[in-house]
Amino acid sequence: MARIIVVTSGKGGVGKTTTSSSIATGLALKGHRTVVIDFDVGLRNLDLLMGCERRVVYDFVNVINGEAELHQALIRDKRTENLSILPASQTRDKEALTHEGVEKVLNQLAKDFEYIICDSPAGIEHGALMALYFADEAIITTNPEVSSVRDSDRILGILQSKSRRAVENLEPVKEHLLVTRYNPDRVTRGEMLNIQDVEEILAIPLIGVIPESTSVLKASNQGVPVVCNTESDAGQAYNDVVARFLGEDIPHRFLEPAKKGFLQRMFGGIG
Amino acid sequence: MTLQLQTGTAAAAFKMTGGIYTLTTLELHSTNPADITNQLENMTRKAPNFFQQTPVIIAFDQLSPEQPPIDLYQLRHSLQQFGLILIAVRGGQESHKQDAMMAGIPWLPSPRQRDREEDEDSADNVETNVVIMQKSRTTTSPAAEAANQTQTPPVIQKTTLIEHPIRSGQQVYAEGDLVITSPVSSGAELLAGGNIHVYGPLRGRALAGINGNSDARIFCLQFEAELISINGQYKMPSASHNSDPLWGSSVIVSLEEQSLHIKKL
Repeated sequence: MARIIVVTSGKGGVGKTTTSSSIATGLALKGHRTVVIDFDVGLRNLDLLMGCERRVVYDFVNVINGEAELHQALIRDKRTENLSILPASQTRDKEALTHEGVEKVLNQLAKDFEYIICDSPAGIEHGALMALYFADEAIITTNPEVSSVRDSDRILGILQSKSRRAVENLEPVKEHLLVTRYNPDRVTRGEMLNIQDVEEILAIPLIGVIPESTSVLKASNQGVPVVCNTESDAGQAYNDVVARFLGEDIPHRFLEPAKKGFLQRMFGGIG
Repeated sequence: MTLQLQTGTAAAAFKMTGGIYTLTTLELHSTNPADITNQLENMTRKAPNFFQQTPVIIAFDQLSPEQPPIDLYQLRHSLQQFGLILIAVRGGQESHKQDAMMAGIPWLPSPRQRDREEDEDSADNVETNVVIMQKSRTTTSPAAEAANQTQTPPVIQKTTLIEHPIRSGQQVYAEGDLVITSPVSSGAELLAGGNIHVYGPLRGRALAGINGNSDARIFCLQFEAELISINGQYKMPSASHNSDPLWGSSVIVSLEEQSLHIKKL
């Protein structure tokens, strides 16, 4: 039975699409058949981050409207086996996502894939509701600052009241907290909330902490998910998240400010 | 305390309400019409206008069963001569109840019977305020009494228990008491006719006693609320929380003399 995972946050710009692309790629790299769907109709970005923007012919809305077959719209990832992308339409708006249409596509995908990652648009309107409605699990992407935490809290409330599992009184959606753009130095200076604060307010289990990193921006400009960059701290952190998602018990990393090197300490001490 | 029943459409011709009224009750010890008239005469002689248009209830509770039956029509007529208007009869034998029905006068159970009924009711966890409501119902005017009869039985105000966190943007309403065993986030709103208990941090808004209950209280283990209110009186503690020594501690909030009191638990 395929697991449907929504990556959501409420607030925009916190790293939902980066997370969707990296987790989908990470799961596929571990040998799981995975598809990632862009629910951000009208503002599609996922194809750029996955580096497949030139290969989009048909999209999610075409499939919902019956203008194309699912296999025509699905894009097989070039780098990673087992990974497919279902891009959003850039020329429509979110209203094109109908309940029945989304359900039909998800049911079809469930036959061929183990994991279906839904990349939610920002906000709490129709597009975000459609992305989370059918979810079995949710990855709540949050930046360590108050507005992002409050919006995540809001989206958790919506998951618990408006998702299919809530409406049909089934086992609730499994929630995971992912803190992104975490900067330990700024936390030390009191400019950012620390992990304990975020965890305490949202009161859901922490699946990972992604450090703020230049490698993330570089990766999205190159169209290669940051998880593929195993040299970078963000890439390693996403790899840890995927492993934890699959049930491994790995300690959290990148929570403390980076230790200064020998020379830095020498000169820092003198200066 | 008033009890309101919405009659549906906005263009309704009337609104049904209930209320508590203080009524004069004549407790009969004798059914002899001459005795009753005599006493009424003595009573009204001193202040002839005092009893004009006064609604009264005739109580049969204290009447011994040996007394001969009484003519309710006659009694009503003689009361009227002294300005008293008979609106209901209370208690007595089954025959009294039937007489009242025949004469078109409402019949009320005696307080003792009522207590017994309530004891049975309270066996299934009926809250105190519901009991008060039932008491008030039996002392209401005939019009309200008739209105109450057309209503469904009084709503039992159960305690609402919520064990999951209340998130930003969520609103919870409970007619009676509201008990929450998880955090209440900022931007969330709790509304209760009765008390509010939060066994966790209270960071959102909590409004207790919203239907006019000044005795309602708010309890929480970690007081970081945006707004607290009891029966419309409100305070926004988070605005001045840096100087608030109770911020973050366990508190009880009550309404005393029209102002909110926050006390450490």
